[in-house]
Amino acid sequence: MTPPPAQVDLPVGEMLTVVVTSDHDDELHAHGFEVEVPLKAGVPTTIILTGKDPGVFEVELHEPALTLLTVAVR
Amino acid sequence: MSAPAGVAAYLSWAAPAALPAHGVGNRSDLPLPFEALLIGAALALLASFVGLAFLWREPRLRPEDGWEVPRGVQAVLDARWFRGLLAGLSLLLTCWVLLALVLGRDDANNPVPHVVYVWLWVGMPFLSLVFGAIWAILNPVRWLHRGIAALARIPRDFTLTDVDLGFWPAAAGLFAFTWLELVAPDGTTMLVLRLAIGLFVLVSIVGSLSFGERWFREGDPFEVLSRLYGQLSPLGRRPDGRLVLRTPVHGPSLLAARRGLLATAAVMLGGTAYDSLTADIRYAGWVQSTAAPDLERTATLLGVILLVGGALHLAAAVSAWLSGVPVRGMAADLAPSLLPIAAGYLVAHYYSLLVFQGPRTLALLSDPLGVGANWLGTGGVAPWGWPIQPTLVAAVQAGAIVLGHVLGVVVAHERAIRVLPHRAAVVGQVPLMVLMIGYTVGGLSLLFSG
Repeated sequence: MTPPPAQVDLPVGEMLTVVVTSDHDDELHAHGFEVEVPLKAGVPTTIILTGKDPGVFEVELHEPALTLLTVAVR
Repeated sequence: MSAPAGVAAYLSWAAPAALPAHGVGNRSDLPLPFEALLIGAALALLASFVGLAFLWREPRLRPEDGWEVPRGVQAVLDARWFRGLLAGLSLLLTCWVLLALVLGRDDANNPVPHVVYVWLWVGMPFLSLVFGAIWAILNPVRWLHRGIAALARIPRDFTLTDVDLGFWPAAAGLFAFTWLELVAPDGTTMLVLRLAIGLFVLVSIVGSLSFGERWFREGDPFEVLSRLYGQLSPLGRRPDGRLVLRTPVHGPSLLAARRGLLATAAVMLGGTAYDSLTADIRYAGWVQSTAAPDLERTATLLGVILLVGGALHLAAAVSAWLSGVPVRGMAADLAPSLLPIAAGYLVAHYYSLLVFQGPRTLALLSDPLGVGANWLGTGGVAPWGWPIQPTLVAAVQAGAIVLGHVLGVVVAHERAIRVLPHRAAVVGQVPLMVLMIGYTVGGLSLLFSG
């Protein structure tokens, strides 16, 4: 069950940990944070995002394209 | 939920990591502060009423207006060598980019998506707002047409048909590009870009051989985009050929109504509005839960464009009815007043993309083949942080939309007193003002909720 996407605030310089568990092999991509990691089905994967440039950035899967959340760095 | 992926995301605060990524415009702007929305909307309302009550009552903007640019400056700007130099640089850049398109790697560091979606789609219209219709000089496809004509020993003004399509091919082309940028899956991959650019070149060749150089003036989407935004440039040309500095409302006020102009303006304005709408996470969440997200996105894009164009049709019809004149042709006569509003949206929506991704494009161009080279010496160019400082971005966004609105009000006023009977010119403008307030408050609200 995928929760509907939401926006998470992240102050500049702080860090956000995102744990993602997918039901299929995929790729997890945090736009603008230069983070792209493979996902194994059923295996929780942790990424850590650091707020640098202010703006709104998407965290998504690639196969198929699915937005998980957006991160508002401010 | 019909989304095929079952994913759980948990969030907590905690330490850092890094790897390559791809795509253009990874970053979108923070929502516009509510105060900026309120102030912008209030200013727009005020400007509309002041415009209705106090602006001139007789047509006032003339083609002969403007302060002459010094003859020496004009001599350079109009010189064959200067234009040849600009065209040469553009052709060199085109070849460089084609190298990356054909031989470059399909990864995040290929400059082609950035050149297409940032420099061409955003940078070129921004330059046109300042300097006028520059793409007519820079357009590399014009040179392809010249080359083919020379090889085939046919004159450059050779045409197969006299059919008048007006700006319709440009409207269709701009819609196709907007769809490619905002809807098409994998629009930044080399396969899709090779296909799209190949198709564009093919259509351009067929178009220019069928319609002659008129194709470039009226059918080529990028030249038309440059020409229409270029109307707002302070640099204009008088009927006698002299370059003059004039107000941004002169161009759109004097622009001849043309078939397809309304459609083109609606695609320009509607495309940007759609881009703003889809930044809203509620829309993104809804659309990806549907059975066919790309179909829904296409329908939404079309819907927004039809709404923008349809609203102008409706306002023009009410204007005509209030003034007791025929409805026919009224919407086309008033369409140029959308241009300043579209320009305001363009600046509000793409300012940060241009200042942030524009310099990055220059860095990527230094390594077109993705071999770790730095052939242009620009590999280290990085965007500054200060232009995307949130308060500055919000000020630019609200300022651009309000300024676009004010200029749109003036253009609508000038065009209305030209086409509406004298006694009805004020009441006839009211539907247009209401429409513009709707566009402006709508645009600000989209930026606020995005």
